[in-house]
Formats: sequence, C-alpha cells, structure tokens
Amino acid sequence: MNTKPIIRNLTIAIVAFLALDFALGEIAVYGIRKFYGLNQHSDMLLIGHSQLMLATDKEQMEADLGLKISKFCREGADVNDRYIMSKMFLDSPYSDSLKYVVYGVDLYTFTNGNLSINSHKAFYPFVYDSNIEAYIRQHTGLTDFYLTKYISTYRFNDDITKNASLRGLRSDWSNKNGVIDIEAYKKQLQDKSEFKIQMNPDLMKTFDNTVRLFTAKGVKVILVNTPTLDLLNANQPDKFKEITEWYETYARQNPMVEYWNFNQDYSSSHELFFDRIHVNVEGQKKVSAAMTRKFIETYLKAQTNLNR
Amino acid sequence: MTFNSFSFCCFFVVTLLATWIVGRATKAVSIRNILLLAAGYYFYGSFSWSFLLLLLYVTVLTYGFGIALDRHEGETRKLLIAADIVLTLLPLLFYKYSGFVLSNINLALGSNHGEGLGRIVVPVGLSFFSLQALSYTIDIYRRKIHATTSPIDVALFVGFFPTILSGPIERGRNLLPQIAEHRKITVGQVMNGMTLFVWGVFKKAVVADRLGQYVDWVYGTAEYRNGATLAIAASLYSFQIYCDFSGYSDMAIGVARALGFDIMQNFRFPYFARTMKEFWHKWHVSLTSWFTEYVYFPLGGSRVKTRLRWAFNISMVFLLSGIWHGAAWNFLLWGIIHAALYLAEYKTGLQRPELENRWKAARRILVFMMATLAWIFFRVEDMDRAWMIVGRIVTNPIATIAWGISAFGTVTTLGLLGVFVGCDWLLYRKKLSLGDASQAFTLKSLMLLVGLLLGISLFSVSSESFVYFQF
Repeated sequence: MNTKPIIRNLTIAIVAFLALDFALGEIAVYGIRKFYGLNQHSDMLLIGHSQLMLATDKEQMEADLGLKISKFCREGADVNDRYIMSKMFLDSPYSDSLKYVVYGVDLYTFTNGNLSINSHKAFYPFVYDSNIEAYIRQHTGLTDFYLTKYISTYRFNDDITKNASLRGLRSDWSNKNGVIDIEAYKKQLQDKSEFKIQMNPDLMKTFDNTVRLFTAKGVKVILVNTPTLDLLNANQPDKFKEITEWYETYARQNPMVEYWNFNQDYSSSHELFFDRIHVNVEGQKKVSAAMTRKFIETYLKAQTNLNR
Repeated sequence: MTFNSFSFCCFFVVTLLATWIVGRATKAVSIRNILLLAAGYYFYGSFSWSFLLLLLYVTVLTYGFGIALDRHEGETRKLLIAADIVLTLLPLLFYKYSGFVLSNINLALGSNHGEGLGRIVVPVGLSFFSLQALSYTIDIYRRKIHATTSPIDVALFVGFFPTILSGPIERGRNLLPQIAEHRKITVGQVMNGMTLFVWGVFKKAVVADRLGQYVDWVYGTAEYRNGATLAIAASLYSFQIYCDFSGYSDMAIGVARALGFDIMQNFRFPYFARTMKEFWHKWHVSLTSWFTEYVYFPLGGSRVKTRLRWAFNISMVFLLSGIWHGAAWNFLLWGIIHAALYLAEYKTGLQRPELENRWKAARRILVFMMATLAWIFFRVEDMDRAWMIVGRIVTNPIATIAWGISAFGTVTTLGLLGVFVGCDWLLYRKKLSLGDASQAFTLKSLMLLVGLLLGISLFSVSSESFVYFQF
C-alpha cells in the first residue's frame, strides 16, 4: 500500500480539524464576551438570570445614564453560578472601572434546583479563567472537563452559549415578543402547583458572599426585584411577604446595598409579561426606564449634590 | 456503557488493539474469538452482571440444541426445535410480557395478582440476541447450515458485542463463517469503520437527540398544543426514531467492520420509499427479514390458497413486529395500522410494478405521512392521548406553530436535520459513500470525518438514552 498519500491526507485532515476548531472557538468566544460585555471596561454590571436579562434594555440604559454596562445575565444562572460569574468579572482586568452592580433577585432566588440542571455547562466557553476552570472541574467528569479544555468548539456545545455568541456577533440584545395567556396560566395553576418558595440557608450565604465580593471593592450593589405576575405572587402570599421583607431588611442593614422592588408598579399589568416571570418588549421598556429613573435619583443626583 | 461514551471508546480501542495484535501473532482464530468473547461479556456485564447469566443460558441452549438438531431426524428433530424455541423465548416472555399479560387479566377479572411483575427490568438487548440465537438453530433445523462444534464460536455469535444491544439481528449463516475464519484487520477497514461509527454518532447524538428535545416538549404538553405544532412534532419524531435507530445500527456496523466483520445493513433509506411495501424492505431490515423468514414463510407466505390467508400471514408479521417492540397495546395498534396500510396499498393497486417510476415525489410524501401517522401510536403510550393528537392534527392543521423552549435551539435543529437529509440523499444516490474501505483515506472521506466531528463537538446532546434500548 502506498502510504505517502495516506499520511499526507491524514495530516491535512488533522490540521484542518485543529485549525477550524481553533478558529470557530475564537470567533465564538469573541461573540460571547461581547454579548455579556466582558471585553470592556464597564461602570455597571448586571448579574442575574433570564428575568433580569429580559427586563433590562442595556443599550437604552447606556444611552440614558451615560454609563458603560456589562450585562452578564444568563438563562438558568442560580445563586452559585452568579457567585462564580461575579468572581470571574472581578478578577478580570476589565473590572477596574466598576462602580455599580445590579443583582437580579426574585421569589425563587433561595429555592434549590428549580432553575436548571447542569448549569455549569454554560460556563464552558470561559474555561480559560482559573475560577471557571475550577468550577467546571468540580461539577463535571474528567471526560467532559478535558474535552472542554482542549477542544474549542466543544465549549459551545450548549445552545445557550451558541445563541449568546451569535447574538454578540450580531450585537443583538433584543427581547422576546408576545403576551402571556392569562386564562391558560390560571388553568395551569389549577392543574398543578407552582414551585415552592424556599429560604435555603446555603444559597443565602452564597448570596451574601457575592454581595461582599463587590462591597469589599467599594462597588455599590443594587438588588433589583424585577416584576413577576401578580397571580404568581399571590400563589404563596406568606412566603412572598417573607422573602420581600428579607430583601428589604438585608438592604437596610448594608449601606452599600439598595433594594428596588418593581412588583408593586408592574405585576398586575399582564400585557407587559411574556410569561409569569419574564417581561416582554413593552415590559422591558417600562422596567428599564423605571430603573434608570431610580438610578438617577439615587446615585447621580446625589453625586451632583455632593459636587456642588 | 453506551456506544457514544468515553468509556466505550477506551474499551473499543483496547479490544481493537488486542485483536489486531493477536491476529498478527497467530493465525489461530480461537484465540481471537476468546478475546472477543471476553470483551463482549465485559461489555454486556457493564450494564448488569446478573444479565450475563441470561446470556449464558441462551448461549448454552443455542449450542446444545444446535448440536442435537444436527444429529437427529424426523419427529425428534421437530421436538428439539420446538423445545429450543420455547426455552429460548421463555426469558423474553417472562421479563417483557408477563407484567402486561397479568395486568390485563387483572383488569378483566377485577383482581390484582402479581403486581410486582410490571416493575421487572427487562435485560438490555434480550429481544435482539434471543432472535439472533434462534436464527441459528432454526437454520440448522431447515438444513441451511450445519451446527458449529466450537462453543466459543457459538457464544461469540450469540453475544457479539457490536450487535448485542440493539442489533442488527444477524444470521448464523452470515456471521458464523466470519467468526470461524482468520480475518485481517486493515487500517483502511478500521478507518472506514470509524467513519461509519462517527456518522452514526452524528445521527444519534446530534440529529435524533436534538429532535427529541422538541418532540418531548410538544408531546409532554400535547393538551396545550394546536394541530399544526402536533403535526410538526409527529413529523420530526419520524426523523428522530430513524436517526436514533439507524444511527445506532451504523455505530454497531462500524465497530464490527473495524474488527474485520461485515454486518448486515439495517436501514436502506426507508423514507425515500415509494410504497409501504418498499418501506418495509428498507426499515429495520434485520427484524423484518427475520419475521419474514421465520414466521411469514412457515405460515405459507404468499403461496397460500386464499387472499384472506395471505392477508392473515401479512398481519401476523406486523402484529408480532408491533408486540416485539413493546409490551403495551399501543405497540400492537402500531402493528395493526401498518398491516392495514400494507393491505390497503395492495388492494388499491399502488404496489403494482408498473407504477414504480410514476409520481415518485408524491408517493414518497404519502409513504412518509402514513408512517408518521403510525409512529404517533408508537410514541404515545396513552391511546386516548394518541387519538387526541391525531384528531387535532386532522382538524386543526393550519395554526401558529410553537417553537419550543428555545426558538434558537429548534431552528438550529431544523438546520441540522436539513444537513442530514441532504447527506442521506447523497448517500442514497451514491454520490457519497461510507461503505468502501479503499476510499477511507481519500481527502473527501477525511474532510467528511472532520466535518462530522466538528458537528458533534458543537451540536451534540449528552445524557440522553438510546430510544431502542427497552426492546
């Protein structure tokens, strides 16, 4: 058998695989970093899951506030994930300009296991970061870990990361359209119960550690309770009251922390909701505008007064 | 360990290397066969070591009855084959069907005897290797082959690890001669086998598993979905089950080929069929041909006196095929639907040879729609729910389609399905080949492999079970 053409073709194939894998990986990681604002020196960081992601119009807020904003919000990111996300951002060279953090809180912030499973997979694109590498290693098997470390395209195996990367490349931070079908949701509430609101102490501790990561560096923390549907809020009224009061007390006890609850103003406006916990395009405009107004009142006016 | 797992890759590399070394060191086939048998038992035992006893039981029966059949004549021979069939099928009947039978008796009598039977775990691959073993002894009975005197060879045939879990269901007359001869493992063969294996992984882990996410979501919330969404889900399920099962078959065939064995093709582009008759010559070929050879022909096949008897013979094949897939009424109904479609197609003259090249596209679409309709009953165990889905599809076929949990995910999946259908069409038209070891190292084949590997890396779904494992 003539081995020369075989060796030549094999070499071309291996080089092609490595080159394509590397190139696709680099393009994808550029896109995802752009999408989350991880490649810029930002004044404000938004950290949360899909609720905060869909409730905030980053581009409008940047225009209105004159601030650079990184929107590091990821579907299914629970309190533990957000701790790692926060550490990752703070350890990067882009965190030197950070002054404010908006941390999304809601009914289920301290409820275990209702957001996602295998959420560590959404961190694979950031395996180059030592915090993330350790986090992934802790949550996955050897095979997956080494595949992630050495095969660039494998880091984007999950659709969430591919979507974020593509949207970053297209500079697309748009929201979902559509309005919740209230009658269908009422029927759903009758057929099956909602997730139970919990106050898991471990998650509360991790939350507190996350806040301290920022306050220790002089970064102000704003706990934003994006609106959720009034029917959902009324489903477990005692627990709803308990968790809301907990956030209020937490903020009161910490001078660097604010708590802004947008439930009162918007939870009964059903036309602003895409589903029971996410606002739609109209809802995003309203909530973002309200956040901007409150931010100006709380921080920028105060700053102006100080400067006088 | 499943085929698309890292542990299987390690196991296979070790087995392949060991087989190659043994093959080069000695021409003694028995040593290679002992090695492959040990590997096979290790592989099967990794699912559950207690299942190995079952495999051993079927192997001992197959070997013993094979020898006995070769040495006896007349009525004794008939008794022997009858005994072999009953004893070989006994575990299958017990593990797979006893719960179903008992629950229906309880339902009819209003009793609740033997409730635990319904929770018995069916040993993986039992449905496959039982039929594979019977093909050997029945062929001996029919004097198509002689019994193999080597117990190792018979054990390897019954417990051949590439096919033990989900087929293809091989025949003794095809696999045993290969087991008995010294077969060289060539680099081209290994490469070709691995390319076919990777193609199988792409079909299973990328296309089938991604389609499964949307289908599971729609069928899981069927009562909230309109007819158009249900129709899309039903169509996508047709592709899901095809890619899942044919993908697994390709992996099995690829692994066997790398080890130097030629295993029968199990799928021959069934959705390009122009009649249901042609569909059944292309879908799960190893099972259909098994029932044709060992049930249909012994019943008389088409050489019977009346059309009614012929229709009965055809129906038996489809009913048994249905119930083989699962111990539940919906699988039986699936078999009945296919029998009805087959017979209706015959009655309307659509199977006539002169129509073969006419209205090809329209006939392919019709066959796909009929198969899809039947698959609804295969997929949805609750018959009321299945009928509800069919009813909505028929009465509300044009409506806004729901995109699933993630529109991006669904669109990506549809794109990948398009890529797969395109590649399958090229394979069907022989513009692309995965079956030729001499082409294994061409740049075209290698770049195809590179594309498939990148596709798997970017788009595969993990932690999803094979659909066919419970049969």
